[in-house]
Amino acid sequence: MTRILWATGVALLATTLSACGMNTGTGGAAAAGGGGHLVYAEQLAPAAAWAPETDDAHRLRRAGCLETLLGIGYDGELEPMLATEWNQVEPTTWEITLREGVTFQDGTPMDAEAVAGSLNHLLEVKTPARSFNPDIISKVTATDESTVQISTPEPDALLPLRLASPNTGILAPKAFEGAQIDIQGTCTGPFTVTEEVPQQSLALKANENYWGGDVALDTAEVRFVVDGGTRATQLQAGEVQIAKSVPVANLSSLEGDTNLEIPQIGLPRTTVMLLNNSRPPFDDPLVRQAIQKAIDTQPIVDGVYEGAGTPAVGPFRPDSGWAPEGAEAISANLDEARSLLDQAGVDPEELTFELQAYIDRPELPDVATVIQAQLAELGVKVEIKSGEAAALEPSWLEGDYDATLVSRGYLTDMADPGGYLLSDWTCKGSYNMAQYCDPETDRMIKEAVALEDEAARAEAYREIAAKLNGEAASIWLQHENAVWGTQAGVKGFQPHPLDAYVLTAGLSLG
Amino acid sequence: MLMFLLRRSLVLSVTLLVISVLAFLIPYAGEGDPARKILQARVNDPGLEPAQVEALTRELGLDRPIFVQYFDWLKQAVTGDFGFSYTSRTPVGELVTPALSVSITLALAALLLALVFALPLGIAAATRRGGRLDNAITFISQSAVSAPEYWVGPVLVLVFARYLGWLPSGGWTGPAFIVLPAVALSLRPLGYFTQVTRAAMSEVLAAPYITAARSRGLSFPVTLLRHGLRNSMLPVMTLFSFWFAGLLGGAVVIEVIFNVPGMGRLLYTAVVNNDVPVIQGGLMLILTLAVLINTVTDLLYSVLNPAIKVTNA
Repeated sequence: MTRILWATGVALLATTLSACGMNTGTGGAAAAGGGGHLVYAEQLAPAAAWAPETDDAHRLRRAGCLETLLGIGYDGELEPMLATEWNQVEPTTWEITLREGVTFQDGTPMDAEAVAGSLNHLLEVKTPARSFNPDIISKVTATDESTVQISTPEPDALLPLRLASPNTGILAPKAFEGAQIDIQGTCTGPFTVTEEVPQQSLALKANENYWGGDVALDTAEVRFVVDGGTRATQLQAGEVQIAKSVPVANLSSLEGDTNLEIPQIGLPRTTVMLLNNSRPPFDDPLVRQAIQKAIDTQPIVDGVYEGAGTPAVGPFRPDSGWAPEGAEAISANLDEARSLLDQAGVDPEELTFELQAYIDRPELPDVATVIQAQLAELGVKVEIKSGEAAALEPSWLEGDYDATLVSRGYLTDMADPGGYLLSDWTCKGSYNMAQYCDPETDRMIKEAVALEDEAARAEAYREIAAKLNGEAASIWLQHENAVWGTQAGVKGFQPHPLDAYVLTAGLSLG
Repeated sequence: MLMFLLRRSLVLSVTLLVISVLAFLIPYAGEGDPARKILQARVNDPGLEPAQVEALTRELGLDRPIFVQYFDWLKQAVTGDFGFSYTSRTPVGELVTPALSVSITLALAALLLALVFALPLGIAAATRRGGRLDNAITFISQSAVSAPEYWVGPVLVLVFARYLGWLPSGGWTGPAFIVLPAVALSLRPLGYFTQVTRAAMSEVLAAPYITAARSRGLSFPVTLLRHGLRNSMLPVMTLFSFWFAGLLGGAVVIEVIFNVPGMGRLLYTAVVNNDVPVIQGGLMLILTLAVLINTVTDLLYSVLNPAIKVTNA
């Protein structure tokens, strides 16, 4: 009988092996020629079958396939990419001049018709992108072979930034022919997708006709590795050459490895302790300011984030251009905190509140513990409640909580924080978790986002940031860093402030 | 036999119907608004317009009464159509089929590996009951049973991928990639198989027919193979099918650690993204397979031991 069992088992195994399309290669990083082969470990697999209006567009851009009309430089500034010029010819019309001689990877020309078709696709989808949808864009038309006109219902100063969002990446008409987006040969970037193993990897080869010049690597692979620890191990074992989002917990062991480099870059993302402004105790600005004065952020950055961050100076990073000049991180001053509570008529020993921390970001419960200990020195009692973000979120939106720790990005699909300010800090904002409502702030935000001049807009954002932080509308704790890992031999890699580019033409194995 | 098959088919249909209700309802047990979670899976910004959430709720028909949704779903499900994934808009079948074949491969590899070691260990322990070898084997099997996968997985990765560099630490692009996850998954079944083989074999060895066989002049190894093994295989086989069905969707931890695109990881991602059709289709398929495997095991019982009447099974 064992023989029968064995025979059946072996036969089944053989059948399933062939059914999974398993080959005999090891899949490792073998050099495929002069330029070599590089493996990049991305965090999440595409969730929406590469629909350009979703976050999958970010992954396709990092894979060196998808490109946008305008790019965002490593200094955060807009720069020409598939378009060379962009002008607001009328208040509600922008004219975009396309780069000449660009072809899609399948050889078809990237002309104005193709670009208009690609952008118009975004206006037709059921759940459109926030950066480019029918509410803010009227139509896209090709006026001649290399010019595209984009008209908007209202004057839109942010349009060039929208064209740098990966959601507005340009794909060849063939990409939209089937029920799902076809990414093979339909991009313009330095790397062409040759094979996709669902939920597993993308195989890429250098685009020989890349408009941006020679591509140093021969081939590359993007692997989707969900677990952060696995990404770190694969990097250490030499199975991947670049890894995204290395977990803070692995930092100390990776930094001691001489074969690796662990570059960090500040992200447009801030860890904040949101205070519910709509009910006691935090409807009183004095109580909020007192709590702000009792918290020291440096120990949080050093202890919980192992230094992979910066103490926050408000909603925006100090180097973003939107933080008030000379703004400083908060540090504990218990005497001032006591005096503020005294003014508010609140006895610190009587003050108790619940602090939520979601476990989806493993650092947040630790941050909550640090805050609990710091506020205990003031006599304030903090009860920590942890759970999954999806379970806690309804209470934030309904305003049924005291305080909650949240990691919030302020630039999600555009290099401008206007959208974040509108959704989070206006009375009717769609994600006003802090239940903050101040008509003056509402006015300031609405006026700021309408400003056409970039410098004036930045100045207005600085004033808003100063106001929010001054009122302790919530307590901004730390600006997060993105931690990357690369093998020492990798040349030409630089973390991008918006995580926009990884596989580039200049990337090589040294 | 015919009556048995008829009766089993009836039980099978009722079981599948109950399973379908469970598979349909379970995804709705989670907290949070489904449409909101779906949108958040597509764009990594939680700040959503309420109008967008409402539009999606209507589009997906999530505002209909739950029983209406169930019967619509069941009507399609019996034809093998589980609809489209909410997040990727691809047919559920296209996501589940490759994932299931990966999980079957991994589960079989792990369980066969477990059997290869468990059978000799169990038999050796049974033939030397109470001896030093028996104690050592019991110790090994107990340790294997108690070793949690979330600990064994990373340890294997550290040793064989990180320090020795013999095997890849994760992925699924060649036979070498099966080894570590299969070994990690095989430990617990190895422990159980060993214990069950030992117990069953001990019982069989004490049976009168073994003494009879020996008194006919058969050597011990021949008696063991011809009479002992066959009769002690029943509980092992039950356990094998139990583990096989369980591992098809239950290897989540190992599939995530080793980046294996199997059913466990698919369901895990689907739950995180609230991709209801994928959870429903995946659960339905796994549970159906579990029930079928169980039925096949019952049938095999009679092959292994004709003395067991199928009517009583």
